Amino acid sequence: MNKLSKKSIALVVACLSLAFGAGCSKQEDSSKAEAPKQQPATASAEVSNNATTSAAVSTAPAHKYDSPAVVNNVSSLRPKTALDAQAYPVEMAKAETTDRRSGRAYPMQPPVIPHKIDGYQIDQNVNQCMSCHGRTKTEKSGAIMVSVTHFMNRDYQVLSEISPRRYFCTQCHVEQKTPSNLIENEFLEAHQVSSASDGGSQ
Amino acid sequence: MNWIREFLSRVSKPATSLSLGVLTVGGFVAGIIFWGGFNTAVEVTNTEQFCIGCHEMKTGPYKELKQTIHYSNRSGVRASCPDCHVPHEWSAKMGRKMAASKEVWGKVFGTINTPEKFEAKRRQLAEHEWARLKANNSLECRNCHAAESMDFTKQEKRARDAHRDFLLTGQKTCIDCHKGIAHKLPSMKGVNEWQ
Repeated sequence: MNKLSKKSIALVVACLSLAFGAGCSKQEDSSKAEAPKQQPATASAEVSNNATTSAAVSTAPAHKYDSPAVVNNVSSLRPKTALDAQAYPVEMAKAETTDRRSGRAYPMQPPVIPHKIDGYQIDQNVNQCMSCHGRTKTEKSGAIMVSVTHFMNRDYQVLSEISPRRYFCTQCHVEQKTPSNLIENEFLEAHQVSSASDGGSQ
Repeated sequence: MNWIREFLSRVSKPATSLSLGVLTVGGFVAGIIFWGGFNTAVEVTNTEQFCIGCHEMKTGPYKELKQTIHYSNRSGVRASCPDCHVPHEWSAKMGRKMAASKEVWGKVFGTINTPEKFEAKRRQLAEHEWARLKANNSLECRNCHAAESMDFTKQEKRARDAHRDFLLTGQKTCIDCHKGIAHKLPSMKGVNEWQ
């Protein structure tokens, strides 16, 4: 029994290894044969991808660890910075303190704040903006009173003070800053859009 | 009771065996030690580390201070608790220290030992400080910020105009306008000049 079983196991192992080996070689053959066919297909896909998406995809990484800024339209939090390098952030822009009203880019734009608001407290206890911009404070402070729209509740009923829904000034109003890394855009004001459609005539 | 009577009778009589030299020199040396020790102990209580030794101060006012310009700023000069809350002049300092025994009472009985209790007392505590600074013409502010040393040309126009009209004319003192510069403000309902 023992001798027989040993022989049979050896046979089975031999058969299996033969069969496996043959299979592997077959696979290699097929992959070799298919490889040249696949290459042109992927190349054409890349070309079409470049044509449709932004140029960032086609820029070659300068370092072997560099990842492009956008891969498959997914932006990374660490774009183009090598793993062993530290990126330096752009300089933080300072708030403009001109104390002069600046224009509005579109009719409903909340006016920007032309002064610093560091540490201004706006919470349940107090709204420090209102210590100058409140209705009863403007005479002394010389500041601009908040728009009367801010006194209305949602039923357009005008209150004597700012409505609770307009309480948190910095939800809409921000300091004016001019950072160095502004992103270009093609924003047009309403009157510019209409003049453009008129063929440039005002 | 007997030992008290004996002590008093001994103290009220002149020393019999000690020389005048020992008494005067010894008294002088002991005076230096006790006076120095007293001042050292007072100065220990006059440090920020002492103030934030209690969790009430560390988690409340000190945490708020850390977000303000008096803690972190471009020139790296910073004000610690006693710079604003304790007068520098000796007699006024002793007066403040005696008044601060109320704070020991508060600590022992836990009057502000939770954020909720502190918030409930915030207006009252703030009013104490406003009244103190108003009464001494913002002395602690002026230990660093002297009107004579202010370069108005380097100030924003808003600040320049306000300082010219109110600070230089003596109409107002620092704390009148600069409330809540180092800590969060309480509800300002009914406070003069506020909503």
